[in-house]
Amino acid sequence: MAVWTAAAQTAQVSGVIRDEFNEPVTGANIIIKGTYNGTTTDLDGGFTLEMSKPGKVTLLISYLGYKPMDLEVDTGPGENKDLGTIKLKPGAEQLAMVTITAGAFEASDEKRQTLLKPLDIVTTAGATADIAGALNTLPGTQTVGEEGKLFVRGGAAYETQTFIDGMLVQKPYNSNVPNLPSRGRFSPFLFSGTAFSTGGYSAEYGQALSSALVLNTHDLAPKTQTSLGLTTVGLDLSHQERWENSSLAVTGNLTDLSPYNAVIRQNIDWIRPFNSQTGQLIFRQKLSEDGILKVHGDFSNSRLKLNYLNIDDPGNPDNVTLDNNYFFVNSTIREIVNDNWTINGGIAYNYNHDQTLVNTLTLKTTDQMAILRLNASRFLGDGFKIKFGTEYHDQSFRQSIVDEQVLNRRNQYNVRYLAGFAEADLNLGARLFLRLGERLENSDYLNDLTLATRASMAYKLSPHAQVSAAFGQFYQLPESEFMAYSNRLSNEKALHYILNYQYTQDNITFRIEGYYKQYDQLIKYTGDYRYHPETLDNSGNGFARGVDIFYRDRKSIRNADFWVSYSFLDTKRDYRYFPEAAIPVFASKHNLSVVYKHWIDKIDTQLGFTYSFASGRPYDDPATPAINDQRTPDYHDLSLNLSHITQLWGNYTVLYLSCSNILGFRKIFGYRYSSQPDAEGIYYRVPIEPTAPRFALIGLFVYFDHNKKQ
Amino acid sequence: MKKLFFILPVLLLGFNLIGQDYAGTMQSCLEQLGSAATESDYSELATTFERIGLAEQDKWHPFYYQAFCLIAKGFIAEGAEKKDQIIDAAETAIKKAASVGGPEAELAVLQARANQARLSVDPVTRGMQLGPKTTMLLAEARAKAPDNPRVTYLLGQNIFYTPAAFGGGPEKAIPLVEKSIELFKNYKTDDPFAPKWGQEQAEAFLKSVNKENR
Repeated sequence: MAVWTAAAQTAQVSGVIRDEFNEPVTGANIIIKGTYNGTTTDLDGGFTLEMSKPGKVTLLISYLGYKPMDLEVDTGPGENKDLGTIKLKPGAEQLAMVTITAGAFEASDEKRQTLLKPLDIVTTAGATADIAGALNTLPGTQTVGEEGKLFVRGGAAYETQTFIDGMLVQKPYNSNVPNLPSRGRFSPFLFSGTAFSTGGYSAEYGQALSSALVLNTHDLAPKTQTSLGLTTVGLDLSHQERWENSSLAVTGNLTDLSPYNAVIRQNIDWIRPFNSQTGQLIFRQKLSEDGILKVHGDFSNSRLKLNYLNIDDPGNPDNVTLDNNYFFVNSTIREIVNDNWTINGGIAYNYNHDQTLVNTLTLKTTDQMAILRLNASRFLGDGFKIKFGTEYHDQSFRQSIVDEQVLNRRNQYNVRYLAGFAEADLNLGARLFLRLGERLENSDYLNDLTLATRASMAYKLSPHAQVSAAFGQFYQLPESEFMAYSNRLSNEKALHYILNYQYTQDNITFRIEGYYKQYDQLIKYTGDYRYHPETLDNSGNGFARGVDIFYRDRKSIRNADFWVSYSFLDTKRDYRYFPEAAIPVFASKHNLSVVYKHWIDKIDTQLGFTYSFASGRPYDDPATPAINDQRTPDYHDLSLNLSHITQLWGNYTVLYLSCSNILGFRKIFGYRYSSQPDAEGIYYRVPIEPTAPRFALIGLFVYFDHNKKQ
Repeated sequence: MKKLFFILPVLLLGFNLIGQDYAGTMQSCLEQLGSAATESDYSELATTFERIGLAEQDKWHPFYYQAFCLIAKGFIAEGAEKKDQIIDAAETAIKKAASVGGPEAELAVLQARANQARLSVDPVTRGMQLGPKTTMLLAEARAKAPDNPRVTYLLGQNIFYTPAAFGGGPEKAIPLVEKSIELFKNYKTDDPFAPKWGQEQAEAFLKSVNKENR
């Protein structure tokens, strides 16, 4: 034995372990393969490994988030071998953390690095659980109170498209009459992930000049549950059933603003305030470990009736009725085939019918769209991924105008749209991420073929900071109201350039983003295009540029979370009826939002405030020669909400209270002017304002759990 | 015969150097674990267990204790991102233990503790989902292994820290903790490295709770 021990001379191996930023790695495990022997790196990343005998061994270097590394070392008796600096390569999860941040806001439960959580959308004061309302507190959006829709970086509402599980949603908002805000049709509770792009989005999506709102629905419902919601504006009833590998949820909702409007004075002469019945069916079937089939059906009908001020004859209001029927069904599958391939596909159908009666005139509009989509992506190892796919839309538009039983006009068109895209994700080294894509689109009605290039990159400056940039070409078919009159048009076009810096550390996020957006081929006309469609053309253009700043802090104040968004926007366009380049009425130069949420443990309550500011918006005074040269007063709003969690008959219950504009600021969104001046040459005008200074909502939501475990 | 006597010790020694003494090493590591208290203690032990685990690919105990140490480290460590990273590593170790036949109930307990550590990073946004999820996980584990004292103890503890509005609270929790102490007293296993922790914690927990409620 003694002889043996003496013969076994020792040896030493030492070195320093560093990460991709050349920072020392502390706590990395250095193991002599096949044995228990090893050591850990110290604060400077250094290690010295004593070996009980010299010779050839394999060292295994293991550190969280990095690829395990094998290193062959051969030592002679008594040798002290210095391996110098050893650089670790980030593992797949670490690589996944380098993501494009330019133009992207993501809310997700699954991914940890996102700026928002789905819950944030629900709990933002002033949003009353409306997706657009919550996203309006992010930079890059403009507050346009009379519309209630998303306006992104100087873009009009139609320039933002909504996608559910990848499928385009044609009418994501409720129908409403002009100057009354719409609400989104889809509850934020439906989605486990929301990606809101303020520009430069992926080649996977098209037909949006400014922004893509990509919503991903939940997978299987977690459990069997019945819920009841009672609010001051309606009733919600929903039941979800969970089986081993499938789930089904059925939801019904009745909304009626009559009781509320009877109590709270409205500055509108309602005959029948907004009321709707909606139903929803959600089915999920697990196909395999990662594969799932999702079927989502949504239908609704709504109506409203009011006396709408006739600006040219104030004593004699127009009698307006609006009826809407809506149907959306979406069926998608996702499946991972043999580890490397992911297949996504779906089929969807959109139907929307609006019937508007103005005195004796009836306007009927029907929009339909069938969608087929198939995507495939493949991992090629080492952070390389390719994705490609195709999308087909069959869209039809029908409109008729009937006045006193006489058919004045009928318009209709059909578009078949075919698109294909390919995109490559490249991790070049550990810190640089590149995404390159091309999208080819063709629509037969306009006979317009377009090829759009999209490119974006992210570069990690340090573990917490990165810069990201994006460039992209975006095409969108003209709005229906124009395509119904002419097929001698082309796609409208936008070019985006975005540069972003983001810093994230331990629940604090700061980001600043500059952008330049160039519009081209915008629809323009002179006079009334409905009678002179030959004046419609694509000669319009414009630009938008600005800076968006976002700061979020969930660390500094205990149990509190707040974010501040500021957007600066400089935009002008020469489009539609504009005689010259001007600022569109929906664009305000400065937008600021401060969102604050505080969780009060003792009373199980979350309290939230949102303050929004927007500088005055342009409006056109017909008495002045220039267009849109006047400005409304600045916009201020302070909203409050309260969610109290409690139990009713042993069931999880949320009591919800919210109120907008608690300080009662007067909000003027613009003015309506009479078409002709009076005898003294003065145009009569009325301000466009909310229907009431404040909107309050009280709701009680009870969740009946059917399989209680306790 | 004489030859054999001569070779035997050499062979054994050879084994010690290559295959090493699994039982002895585990024994001494578990002793060290008994007195571990600081972040670096747990860090050091986690890497040691990892080494043993990587050399003994078919045994679940080293991975179990690697995860155990990482979770303990995760509770102590500061900084949201760092905590999350440590818990990620712990979850990887739990998965490894599961893949080589680690007992479901014990791994559910570890996963529950990992969830609790994650929840502590951001109780306001994570509590709503992770709290009930953890309770569900433990309730399922308890249905399968009603005699495992750690499952029962952790279930009680998790319910205790769940707000009453979410279906938690002391009234539901304390009987479970009391029950777990009874189970601890009767708990027997032939496995020398099986998890044995929990009784002291459960007793201390009950004591502190009773003090508060007095």
